[in-house]
Amino acid sequence: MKCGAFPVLGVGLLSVTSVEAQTVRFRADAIAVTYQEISGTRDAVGAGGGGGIELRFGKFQIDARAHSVMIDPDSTGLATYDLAQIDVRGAYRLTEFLSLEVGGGRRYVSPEFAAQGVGYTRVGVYSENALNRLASVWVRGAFLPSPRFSGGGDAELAFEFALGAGIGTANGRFRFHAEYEFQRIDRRANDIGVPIQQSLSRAGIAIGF
Amino acid sequence: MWWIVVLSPKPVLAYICFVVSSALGLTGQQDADVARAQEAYEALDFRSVIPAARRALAKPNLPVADRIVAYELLGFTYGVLDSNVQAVDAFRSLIFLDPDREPDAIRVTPRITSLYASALGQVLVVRGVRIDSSTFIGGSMALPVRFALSRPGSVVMRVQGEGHRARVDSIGVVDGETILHWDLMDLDSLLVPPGTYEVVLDARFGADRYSTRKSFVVRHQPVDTIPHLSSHPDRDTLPELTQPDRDWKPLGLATLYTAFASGASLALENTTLGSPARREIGGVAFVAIVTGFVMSLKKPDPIPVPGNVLYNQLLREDLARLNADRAAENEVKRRQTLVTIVPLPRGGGS
Repeated sequence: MKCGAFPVLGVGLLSVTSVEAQTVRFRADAIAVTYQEISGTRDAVGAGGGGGIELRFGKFQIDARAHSVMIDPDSTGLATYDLAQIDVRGAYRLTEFLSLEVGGGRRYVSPEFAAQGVGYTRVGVYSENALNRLASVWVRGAFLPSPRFSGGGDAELAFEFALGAGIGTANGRFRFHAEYEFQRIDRRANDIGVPIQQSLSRAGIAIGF
Repeated sequence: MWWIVVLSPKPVLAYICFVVSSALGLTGQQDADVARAQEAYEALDFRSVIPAARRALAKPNLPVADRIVAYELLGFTYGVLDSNVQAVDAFRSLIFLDPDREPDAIRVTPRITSLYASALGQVLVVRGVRIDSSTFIGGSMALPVRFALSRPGSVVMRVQGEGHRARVDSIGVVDGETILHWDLMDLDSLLVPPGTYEVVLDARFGADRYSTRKSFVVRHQPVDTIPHLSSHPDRDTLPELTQPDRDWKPLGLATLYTAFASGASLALENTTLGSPARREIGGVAFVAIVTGFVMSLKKPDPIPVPGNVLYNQLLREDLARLNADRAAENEVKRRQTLVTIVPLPRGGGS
């Protein structure tokens, strides 16, 4: 998937703002990624950008994000490649600090087979705690059942978790945030372990309405 | 003349005449005969008073004020001369012209006062018609009209104004001071419009009749409304927010969340992939802890005081109820009219 797909996604997501939302927040992020696959010899780092939209209405929250980074493998002889990812999450607040979260995502690699493309669903929890009217911190953790890979195979264990902090104006109009996401997928292909692990950090600004 | 015979010294008569003339206030009379009678009376020349007064009274166009003085001089003089019948007759004529006029019981002799009272008892007149200045809401009160009859009789009261309908009220045989009321409503039970009105009192007993009138002005103005309340009149609101003491909860929460994520990252990373990446978690953990630290240094947000919030809510509800009551009361007041009664100088009788 090329980066040109993101504007289309953004337009599609913008049309969702007609939903009777209490809060609509658009975000733009700078991304840094450490991507590890198969073995320690195939570490790769990359940077890029992304964006997303977040809707909150009542006890529900919908979060859609996309980003694209250019990966520069450490190993010699490997060319750089693009890695694009889409994540969609829907959450329902069970208590003041705990929400049940479900969703899905997909990671695209270009050129194909430079790394594994992955598609997954997620079921997890999300906890956000307001430090005061201006700032909040949050964590999330999710199990990724039965992820699919472009190169085939399956995964016995796949999960992700995240840590984030945000600070902004009291009215929620502007908000700066920093977030860390960790994703581990223990992929096996032909009974051989070919694990995937991604550490991602994003920093950006969100504008709320 | 018995008392003159008994007290005959001239200084006494001079004093009496001086007192009577002072009581009459006889100054600046226009008619020459009345003036002449007055001078004769003051000079104790009683025989000259009577013809002068008679000449004045014979004039058909003699002003009422002079006619009143002439009858009074006649009455006093006949009284002094012990001509009781003529004195009473003169006083009767005087009473018809000015029923409210009375000899000063302190300044005139008891004999003259007695003769005047005798004359008063022989005629039917309405005396002391009084309408007090007053202000009230139309329809809530009635206008009292006070008067007295010189002797028992029936009275019919009519109220009439320019172009307005009259209202009739009546009372049976009365004696002494009486009050009749008018509610300021016309025959359609509507409040009469502003203007000048006249109370006409017709007294009757047998063949005797007497009528007098009293004018007054009716003015209208709107009734003042009650102002809308912006705050509770009896109680003040309480502060709904209070400033809590500074605490380190934000830092604690940020540290807790960061520790959880960092611990999970370290514990759950796949060691087969070599040395794990630390830069991402390190950077975000630093930002989270710094955010918690800064928020801990910042003055905490005010927190609501539930008791005060509930109290203020009750006050607001009570204030709304008070204003609703006032609005309803004002709605009534806007339909009301404040009526002011201003009596005018008295009219005459017949």
